[in-house]
Amino acid sequence: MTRCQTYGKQQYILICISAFFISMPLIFSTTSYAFSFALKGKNITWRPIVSIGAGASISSKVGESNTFPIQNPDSDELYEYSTHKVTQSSSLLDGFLGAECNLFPKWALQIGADYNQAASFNAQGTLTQGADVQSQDIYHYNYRIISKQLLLEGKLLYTAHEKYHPYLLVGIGSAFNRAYNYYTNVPPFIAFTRMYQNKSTSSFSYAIGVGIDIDITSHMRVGGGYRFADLGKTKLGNAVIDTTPVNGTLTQNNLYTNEVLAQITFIV
Amino acid sequence: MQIQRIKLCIALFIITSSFLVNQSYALSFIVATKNGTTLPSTVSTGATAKAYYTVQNNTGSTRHNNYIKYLPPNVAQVTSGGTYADTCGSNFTLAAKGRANDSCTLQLAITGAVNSNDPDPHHHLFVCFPGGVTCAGTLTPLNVTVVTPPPGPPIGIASGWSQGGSQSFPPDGTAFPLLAQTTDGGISWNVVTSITGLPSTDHGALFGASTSCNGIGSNTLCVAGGVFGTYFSGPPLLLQTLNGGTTWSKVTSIVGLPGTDIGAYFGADCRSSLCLAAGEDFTTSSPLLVQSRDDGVTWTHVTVLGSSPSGFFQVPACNDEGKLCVVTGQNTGGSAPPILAQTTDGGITWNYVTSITGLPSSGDFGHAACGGSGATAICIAVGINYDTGAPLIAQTTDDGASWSVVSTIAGMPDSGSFSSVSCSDDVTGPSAICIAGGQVFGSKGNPSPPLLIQTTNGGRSWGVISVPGIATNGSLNDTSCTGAGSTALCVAAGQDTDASIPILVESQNGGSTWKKVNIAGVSTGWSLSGVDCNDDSTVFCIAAGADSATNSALLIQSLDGGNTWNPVIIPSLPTNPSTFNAVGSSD
Repeated sequence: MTRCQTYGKQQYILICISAFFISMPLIFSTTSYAFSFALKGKNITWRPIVSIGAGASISSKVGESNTFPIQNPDSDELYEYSTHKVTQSSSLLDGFLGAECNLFPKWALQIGADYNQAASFNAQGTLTQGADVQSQDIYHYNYRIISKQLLLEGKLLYTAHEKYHPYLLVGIGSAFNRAYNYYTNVPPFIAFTRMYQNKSTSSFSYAIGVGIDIDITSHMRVGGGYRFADLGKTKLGNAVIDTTPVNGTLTQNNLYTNEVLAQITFIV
Repeated sequence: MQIQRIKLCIALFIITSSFLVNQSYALSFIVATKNGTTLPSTVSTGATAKAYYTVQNNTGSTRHNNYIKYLPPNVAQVTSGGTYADTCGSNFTLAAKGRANDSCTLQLAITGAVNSNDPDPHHHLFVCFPGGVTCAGTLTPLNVTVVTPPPGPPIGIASGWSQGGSQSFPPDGTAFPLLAQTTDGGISWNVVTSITGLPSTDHGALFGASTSCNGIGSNTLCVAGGVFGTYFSGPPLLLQTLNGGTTWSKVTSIVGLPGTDIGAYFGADCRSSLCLAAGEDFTTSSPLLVQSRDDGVTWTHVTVLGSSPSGFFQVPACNDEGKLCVVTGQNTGGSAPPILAQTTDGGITWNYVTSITGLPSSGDFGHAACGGSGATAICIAVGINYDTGAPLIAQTTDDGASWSVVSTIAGMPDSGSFSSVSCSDDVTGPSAICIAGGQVFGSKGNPSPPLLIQTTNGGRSWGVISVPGIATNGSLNDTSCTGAGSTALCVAAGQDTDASIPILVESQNGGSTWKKVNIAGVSTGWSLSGVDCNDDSTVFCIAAGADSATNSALLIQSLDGGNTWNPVIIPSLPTNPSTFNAVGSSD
């Protein structure tokens, strides 16, 4: 629980909910390929499933404003980065490998590992740098962010009219984010500026969502859904001005995305 | 309404576009070309160009200890002794913008190419706060290309002396060295009045064929030799300029030559980095040779290997690369063969040449010339055969490996002498054009006309040249060939003793045809002692001597490759009788 407290209240609740869903097969499963148990006299069988999907990942805030104030007035300039809030969308690919069981006549549970990756986002904005107001100049900057998410995911499905399966989805895990290709239009023969190295970071990540799957055959479903994901922290690498290393880097503490997905599921 | 919206959009587009085209930056410093100056776009090879920027503090506070962090290659900051009083130092403080002393002048010295598009930011000008992280460049970067400057006009010198009595040789104790020069290709001449180490009150004289120049423009080295003080009583005198006549100085230190020796220089030749001056050491009655192998920076006395004769050297000569050189002379030890010394290694070692096929037992080599290069380099020594009284010519056509007297020249007189020989600038010995001038000694009342012979194949064969109307009685005293092949210019100068006027003959086509030159304003009493044409593409010829009618030194020149010759008026010639003996011109 101490780990839950360090992540914050929202994340704590999600972890506990996910833990409930994820722990269920651990409690009731055996190590066999198809397993069953008795629940109030009924047998529960786990069937392996594979899902692949594609869609879009949409974010309204890529990048975060950062300011590097003047530490030494004799030598430093102020560097102020203001992010342009532009809604961006990137293509999304998703894959899920897990198992499904029927808990109750109309309820099913899917548990497994979900991996998804979106195409890169573009963090961009305005850089204001100068020793004081009268000597400051305004430039443009941007860099790319690409994120991969690996979650332990649980999906609770309801069966309606025998073939429609609306569901709730929760997943927790890690996001692997890479911030790279920092660029600025500060003219290199006129002024020096902070330049950043590429950096990969891994952060705690989670997703919650809803959707609906539809049976096509007894072994195949198609469906669509929506997910809200927190991809965690992204940041660029070490900074230098000319050849001098300087402290600080461009950081975004939480990259949130809204994802829409179409998927096809194969049930053994 | 819609049309108005379109017009507004177009206007905004134009305004925005013009802003982008004329975008400027605030920056911490404003670094701009200094008002009233322009940035150089070229720099001559070996020269330094200057550039000036104004560096202004663009912040609202005083900035201390600013500095120039980066400069382009070939650019250096001048931090002291700059052109302007507010030259930026290596570290400089600037007041807040708008206050006094908010700027300084950045002075840059450029010694090579500068590329304004160099992709390395560290090859651009940056002015920085202390720490070097807050910096500003300039929107007007340097872009400089290196150019090779044109060679400059030919330089010519004429040397001689002036003295209280007359123009006659030898100069007496009243003589003063006389040196005149042109540094603008003959447009103007002046007497050199300031010679470092030789006060104008010092006596002496410059004579013989001891004037020679080598080089181009301001890199020309010229020497003029003679005697210091009174002839036969003073030490040899050597004057030189290392900068094309801008300054002249007396050579005061010659390694290995006692300063107390009495002597004189009679001849000089400078080629490539080698310069020779030859004459006599009167103290030891022996030939005297000194040389510089570093363009006149240092001079050394030469010890010629072999049996040292009694006598004197007269004229040194080298090929253009300064590798094969000879010095001719006369043996005064009774009846003896003429003296010849040579080097085949640019002056490192010198030897007396004693094995010359057909060399007379008694004679004089008064003059020499060399040409060609490499294994077929040639040298020719001319003078008189005292055994027969005939003109004497000996040569080597194999870079000094062997020498022989040229004995079969059709039409050669039985009696006479050669005074001078000169070869063209052909780099191959077998194609060299050489001429030798002198006089026929007529006997029993026969005329004694000038004598001229030439070879157009580097000495493989010689022929006597007959120039129509040259003179019945007279001599050719000096020769000069320049250029190469069918456009070589050869000139011979001397005296018509009947008319008492100078003789000037020339070939402008490599010796194919010869003509007598009309000298504008020629007057009786004129005599020419020396002639020289430079090696530049713009051929410039000078000939000098004396005008006995006015008792003054005489100089004539051609600025059109020998087509026309005109006398030169030299302001400030000494009022005493004066004469020129020798001339020299740059490459």
